[in-house]
Amino acid sequence: MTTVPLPAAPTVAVARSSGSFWHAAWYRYRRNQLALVAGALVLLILLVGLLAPYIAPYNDAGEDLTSVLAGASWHHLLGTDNLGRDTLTRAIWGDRTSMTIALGAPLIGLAIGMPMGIIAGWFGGIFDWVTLRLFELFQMVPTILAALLFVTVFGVSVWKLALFIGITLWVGFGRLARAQYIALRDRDFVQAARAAGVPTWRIILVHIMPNAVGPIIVYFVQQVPYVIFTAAGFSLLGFGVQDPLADWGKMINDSVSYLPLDPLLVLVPIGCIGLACLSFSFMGDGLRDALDPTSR
Amino acid sequence: MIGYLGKRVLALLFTLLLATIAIFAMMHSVPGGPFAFTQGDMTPAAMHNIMVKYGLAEPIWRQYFDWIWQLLHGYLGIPFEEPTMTVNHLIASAWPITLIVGGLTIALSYSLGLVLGCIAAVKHNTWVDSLITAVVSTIGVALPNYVIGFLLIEVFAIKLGWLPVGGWGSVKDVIMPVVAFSLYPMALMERYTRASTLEVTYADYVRMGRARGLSERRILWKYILRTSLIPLITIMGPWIPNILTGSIFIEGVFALPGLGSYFTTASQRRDYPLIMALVLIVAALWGVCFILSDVAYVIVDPRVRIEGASQ
Repeated sequence: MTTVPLPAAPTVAVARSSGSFWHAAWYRYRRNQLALVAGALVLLILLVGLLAPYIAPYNDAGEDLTSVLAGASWHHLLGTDNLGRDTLTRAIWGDRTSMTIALGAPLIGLAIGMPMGIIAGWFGGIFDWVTLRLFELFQMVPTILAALLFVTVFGVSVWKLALFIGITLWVGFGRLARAQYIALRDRDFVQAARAAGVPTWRIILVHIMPNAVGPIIVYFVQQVPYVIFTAAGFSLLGFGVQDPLADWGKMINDSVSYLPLDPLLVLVPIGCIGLACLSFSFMGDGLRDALDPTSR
Repeated sequence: MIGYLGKRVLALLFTLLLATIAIFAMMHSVPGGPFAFTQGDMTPAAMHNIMVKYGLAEPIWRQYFDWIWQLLHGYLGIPFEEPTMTVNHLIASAWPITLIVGGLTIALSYSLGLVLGCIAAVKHNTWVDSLITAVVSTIGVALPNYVIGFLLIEVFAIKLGWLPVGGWGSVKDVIMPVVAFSLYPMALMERYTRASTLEVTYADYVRMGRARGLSERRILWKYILRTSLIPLITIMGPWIPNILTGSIFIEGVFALPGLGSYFTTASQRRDYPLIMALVLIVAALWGVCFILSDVAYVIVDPRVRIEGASQ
């Protein structure tokens, strides 16, 4: 007699409290192998960026004109660029720069967009009308062009780049937060909280927020590849971070003319950009399926 | 319908007005005019002459009204960097290049993405589906288009020597920019087509059609695809102006003298008339396409009605 494998215990219970919701979300995420690998890679990328000063084999701006365009060797695992800077070191420090911008920009977009979306969605009426008009206004401005204009007018640094790209991201966060708060504001638990006399700020932040953050987290992670793309693209055109800072886009820009001599010079940053974009993109997909199962 | 369109167009004009005011104010809010870099070593008197010549000595609000007045007469001013031309000429020479690349990109990416998406959805959960989805979403969505551009240049221009590295002039120049530019919209199209087709595939009315013995082909073409393509209008519609106004990155990598590369140099050099003209064109085109995609939605999907419109 063969034993019929019993279905696993129903871990995915109906999400009653926020605790079991996150539990169920983690359960769903864990089953998605691609998302797990992507999540691990994202952690690795962030760790490398965080620990750059400790793990980079050389000084990030250390020029060594005796070993220019040295090619891969035991001394320089990925070769050196036209100024004799170690490519692996530049890639690791570039990770730090790129991740600062990649996480900083959506954070700024979130910081601007979410309060506006919450106010519009919760209070409605004139607030909603004004916010919607603002959305329409800013939607009409091409984001990359606007960011480029900011960069050329106000100058550039890592934080400025994050700020300028972030400013162009706020509409998405605003729309999402507004939609969430509109969907949730008339739900029973909110009515109950109101009837019980819970102050408005507490309803907004403590009662609704945990129910609203799922899609916003997903959106946040999905924005990261876009920011990496834009920031590296600016560096590529020569508008991004300046020497001696390292950045993946800048590495391409610095060494594209030496491509025939050593393809690694361009392939390493391209690989880094591709890997980072892929990891965040698949992690975002996994998070969406886990946190927002109805949106598939 | 006409009232609705009128309202939308009015709102668009108002938006454009606000946007141009904001950009105008922003550009003028920072010290250092357009000639501070190129003609920096001039005497103050000579500098003042230049400023007067280009109308930059006036107060800002006056400059803005002058600009609007010119605009209403269809004249966009003289680019500071190339004073022998007008902005109108410059755009007339640059935009066709961007339009050709963008138009071909849309044709290629939308049709290919649609076909691949349908195939992936019809062959759901087979190796065909996973192959298409994996390849397309990896290469198209995750790799930035300029990275793909560099790889194409490396392989087809440097290693194989089949295609020119960049520039504009021959038919061959179009190929690599279009391919590199197409991958992302194609991947988006594929993903959305697949998702929305799958959603409809398991809908009750399709199952009902099957139960009644309709042929698979009829179900696919008349029942599934007609419904599943509707959301694509709102999702992919707004991408059209985006593509038609070009990508600064693609035009930078392939050295195309289109709108995007002019925007790059113009914003670098504070070429106010050129920046204003380019922003206006891009924003206007976006706005018009948003309106058109909303209208198209109403026409295609009978369930959607304009607020206030009669049946």
